[in-house]
Amino acid sequence: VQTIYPQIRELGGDVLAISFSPPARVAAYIQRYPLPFPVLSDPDQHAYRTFALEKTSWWTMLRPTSILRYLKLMVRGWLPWSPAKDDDLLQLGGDFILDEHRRLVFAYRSSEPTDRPVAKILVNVMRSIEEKKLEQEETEKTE
Amino acid sequence: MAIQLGEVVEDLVLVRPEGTAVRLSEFPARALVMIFLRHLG
Repeated sequence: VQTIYPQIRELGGDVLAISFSPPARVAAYIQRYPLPFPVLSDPDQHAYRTFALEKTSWWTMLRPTSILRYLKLMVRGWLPWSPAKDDDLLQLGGDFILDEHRRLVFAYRSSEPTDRPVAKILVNVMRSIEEKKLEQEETEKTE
Repeated sequence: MAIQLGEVVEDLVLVRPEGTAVRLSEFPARALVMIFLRHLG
């Protein structure tokens, strides 16, 4: 997402990364790995439940295909950070887009640990939101 | 019940790294990409 962040900003959007880790751990993480967008904490996982994000199983985590994907990520420069004692290792993530009225316009719930949407899809959704907004503004002007 | 496409998401309260609470509505963007992480790392 870091690579498409400038495009998202150009389209009038913003990005929020959300972690279930406590704020202090998030602070330590972003000090070590700075990100261009805010990283917020959802320690009671209320937001995770609101978006119905699922949990995986140890079997899925340790499947050869999952391990292979992690190895590919490591080849691309990603380094695993040792999880905290109370980290929920089975919690899956997901990607969502809300419009300016906080209406859900895109939802992608990970089905396994390394499952994420292609970043380009997020930009395309953002572009379509922007186009709809411009069309709407044009219609309002002509009325 | 999981939130569905087209529904309005509640004004969730999240916590900044320094410990202060923040609402989704405090991010005035035309659209907001929310990336839910797995464990940090």
